[in-house]
Amino acid sequence: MSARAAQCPNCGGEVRFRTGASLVSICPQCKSAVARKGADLEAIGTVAELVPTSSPFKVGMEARPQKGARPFHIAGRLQLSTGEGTWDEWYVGFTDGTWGWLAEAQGGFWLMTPVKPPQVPAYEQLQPGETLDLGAYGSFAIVEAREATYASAEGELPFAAPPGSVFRYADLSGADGSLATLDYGDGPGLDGFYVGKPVALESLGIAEVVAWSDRTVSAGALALNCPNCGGALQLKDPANTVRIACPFCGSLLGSADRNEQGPPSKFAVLERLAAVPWKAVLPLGAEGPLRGHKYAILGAIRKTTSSGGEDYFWTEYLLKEGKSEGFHWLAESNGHYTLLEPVPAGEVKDGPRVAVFRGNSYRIFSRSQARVAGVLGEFYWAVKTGETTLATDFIKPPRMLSKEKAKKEIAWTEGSYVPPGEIAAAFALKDPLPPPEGVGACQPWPHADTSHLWWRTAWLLSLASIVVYFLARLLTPHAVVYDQTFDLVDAARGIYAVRGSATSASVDWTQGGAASASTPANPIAAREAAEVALLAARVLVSEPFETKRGANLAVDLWAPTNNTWVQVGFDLISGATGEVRSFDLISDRYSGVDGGESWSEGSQNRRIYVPRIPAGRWVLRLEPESEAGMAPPSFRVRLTSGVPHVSHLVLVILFLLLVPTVLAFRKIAFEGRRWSESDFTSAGGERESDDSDDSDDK
Amino acid sequence: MRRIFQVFGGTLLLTYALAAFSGWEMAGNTKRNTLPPGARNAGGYRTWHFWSGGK
Repeated sequence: MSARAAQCPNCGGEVRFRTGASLVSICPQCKSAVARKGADLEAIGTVAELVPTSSPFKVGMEARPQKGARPFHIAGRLQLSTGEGTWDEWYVGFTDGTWGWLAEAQGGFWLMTPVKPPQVPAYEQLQPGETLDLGAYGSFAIVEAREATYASAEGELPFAAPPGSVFRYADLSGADGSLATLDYGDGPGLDGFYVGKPVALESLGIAEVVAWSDRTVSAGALALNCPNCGGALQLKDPANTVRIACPFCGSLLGSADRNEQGPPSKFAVLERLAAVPWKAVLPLGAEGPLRGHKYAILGAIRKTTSSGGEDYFWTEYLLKEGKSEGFHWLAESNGHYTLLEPVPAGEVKDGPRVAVFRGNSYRIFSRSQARVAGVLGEFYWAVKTGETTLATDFIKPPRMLSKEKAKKEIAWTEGSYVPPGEIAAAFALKDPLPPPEGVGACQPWPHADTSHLWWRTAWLLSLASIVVYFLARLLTPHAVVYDQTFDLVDAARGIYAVRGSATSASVDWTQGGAASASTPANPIAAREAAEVALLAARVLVSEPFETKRGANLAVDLWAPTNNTWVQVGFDLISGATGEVRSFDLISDRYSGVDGGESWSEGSQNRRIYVPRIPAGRWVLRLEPESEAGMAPPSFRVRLTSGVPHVSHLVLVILFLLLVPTVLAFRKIAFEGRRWSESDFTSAGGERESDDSDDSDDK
Repeated sequence: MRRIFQVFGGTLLLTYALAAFSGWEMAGNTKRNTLPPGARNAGGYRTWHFWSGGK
């Protein structure tokens, strides 16, 4: 690519315009910002010294992206500062003559190009967390709305603002992961609109990019002594470190020069403390692999909130991810750890009870005004105690979606629960971490992974049992061994006889048999004899029948009872051994209309299973009994040998479902303990709190 | 634990299959007795006091 060379109007040194869209080139000799004004050049100011950062990019680098992006070269570097932090924006020129920005913030990278500005509200009306409908560009969540100072630059720039200008901008996050920036410049209108996608550092195809772990050595001092206590401080990310909270004395260190942007050249005591306000459980500076990432623990923030008159504390560890260079978080509360990483706000659909992220719904768990109570370690922004944010946690155990809203920005993080043992192993801790208390906000139920397997096993075995039941019904030689209907032949005395028999043996026996012939002369004895004779007259004795195999015997009684009943005493008598099995069955069905509503109770059909009836010849002795004068006209008895009992199937299924059911109850108890710690019910309703201050804050 | 449950469930299923195919029945609410040797005399099954007053 050709470059147009010119002389710096300030020092006469050579300045180059390599990219056609460039309007300014920073003179490498005198740091003048040289602007093109038609055919002329004009110095519009002088840039300050660049603040050293840990950016992987340099002006002049060539990028050959793997796929989906055009090759480009890095033509210039714009360094911006909000006063709380400094970052680089890299001006890139594509091979087709167009241009864009390679932006980086908090370890993330975005390749953005200018597009036609849409209709947008005035800068003053923008509220982080709200959604903007940008027409054809889609809907975007406002992540941040701030002012930033054009602090320094090198190489070329696509605009002609003088160094030191203040820009107003808003970063937007799209639902598809895209990022957009509304550039309001220093005037009332919109100066530019940029849209882009996040890019992975390794996908850019820049050969000269140096890994973060190697860059830190050259970017700043790795070791220094605390100016307050003299304690030896080992920095993991010196190129980005703006604040240090000494882990030995608790003092807060930073640049003594309030105007100095970025990591200070020399750390001074900003806030002197006599002692460390609290002790972090995890060792700061420790490195280790966790959930597929290589992390270094940079710092720890102790946060607190008040609820119901009590103060609650938790710790958030700042982690530097080795590969993506992103900053992640490890939140610890009551010994429970959650690993969180930033996610685009535009991909989160925020709601009062539920937040949806990438198709997953998270239920609201807590919302509180979180205050920074103490800090330890190194931080890439000007952290200070007393800062407050509105923190809202949504859960879908084992995952958590967390929102932190400040006045000018909103940040979403998402992650998952990590058992303390995994943390200890990852950072090679010598001592085990304190055991967790209670149930963590997004702690998974211990049997969550295997619960469905329990249920699946139980259901499969239950299904198999049902199959076995029907197979047994189809294949086993169960047979009706006796089936007889008895008709009422003497309604007054409730005497039945075998259907179709010409005369009843019972009737004969009582009316004219031997019993009547031997009636005693004593009236009492005669009455007793008559009662015995009547009972005997009601008795029915079957013809012998045979059971072919040793099995159970299903005995059915049916009678056309209608507001009547008949109870039959059964005696099953073995012809071979004299063994007797005795039981009763009753057929009783009552129905009627009461208060205009019909009702019924009882049953005309009754069944009993007689266990273990050996093969052989049997006789059935029946003794029917009913209300005098209201005996049903008939009843039927049927005996079936070897019938699979459906209640056994029910019992088997109940046994199979017992363990999963117990587990289900344990899960309910577990969830109850979890939600007892929440500000909300599991249905998303807000619990009543007597902490009026807290509600006022919200 | 799940393996134990699988073994328990499998054993239960097998036991049930044996019970279903063999016509096994749990002890129910039936009474067991033995007919005295002389029951067939003195009126037989119908009249003997065991039946009319014994239950």
